[in-house]
Amino acid sequence: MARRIIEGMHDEHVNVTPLIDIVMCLIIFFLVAGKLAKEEASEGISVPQAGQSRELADQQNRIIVNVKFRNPKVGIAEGTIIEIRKREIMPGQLATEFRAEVARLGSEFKSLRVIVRGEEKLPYEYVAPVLIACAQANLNNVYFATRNYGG
Amino acid sequence: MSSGGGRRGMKKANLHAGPNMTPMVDLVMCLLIFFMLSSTFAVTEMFMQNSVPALEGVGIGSSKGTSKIPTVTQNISIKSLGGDKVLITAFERNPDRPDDVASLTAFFKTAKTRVDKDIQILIAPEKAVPWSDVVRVYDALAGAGFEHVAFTNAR
Repeated sequence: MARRIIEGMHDEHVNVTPLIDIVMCLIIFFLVAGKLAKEEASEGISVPQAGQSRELADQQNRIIVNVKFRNPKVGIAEGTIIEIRKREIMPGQLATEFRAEVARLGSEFKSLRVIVRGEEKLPYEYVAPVLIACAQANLNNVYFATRNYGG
Repeated sequence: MSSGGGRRGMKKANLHAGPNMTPMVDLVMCLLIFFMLSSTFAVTEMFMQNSVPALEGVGIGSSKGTSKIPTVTQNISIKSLGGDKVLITAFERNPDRPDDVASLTAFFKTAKTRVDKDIQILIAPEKAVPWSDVVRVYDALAGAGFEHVAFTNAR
């Protein structure tokens, strides 16, 4: 009696389930990262143009200070606002805020970067308090957000 | 009476009976590329660094602070003339000369050859001077190679 050798059934299709799992994780990562970056850098600020600016490769230990018109459509008539992480900060509280950030960093306080994002049409008297507060808090890593000419 | 043609007609049983995942993989890859590119385009800002942001009674940039500033200083005043016009006064500069970044940078480069290389520049804008003009002067100074540039309080 001849034995029939039944060949094993070959599944020619690649199992894509793990691939989709990883791709979904990547999508969620980019979604969250984009949302967090958007929250810190306030929209509606047109930063000044400059030619000597560089990219900031290391984004760790940074604090972004947004200085802008309270109502961009109206301009200076409704005053200005200083924001850090979506919270309005009074000019007199800036140095305290910076010192708190320095205390939070502990031994790495020297790596704290203060990024000043000022609206280009804003009078200097509204940006100066941020610079003064940096001096009061002994911070010497201050960056001005700019955009390239033509940007 | 049946012939042996029944075996010829036998089909392989397909054990993989799940849905076709190929279109889903295509869509997911498109989404991934979209989010990767959008996060890249979202960050278009550049940055200019400053190590001595301002002069203040205590703290950095002052004689009482932790970082000393050079003793030789040069003030650059920026006055608002109304509208979009500002007056930049520095190094005995002729105020009628053009004040675009390229002209300012060329002027400061010439001025740098006549001063101490460690000179401390103090940018002193008036209250009403737009922030863009302050950055423009700072940009020109950085392009001319001045390393010690600080800002005073608004006058």
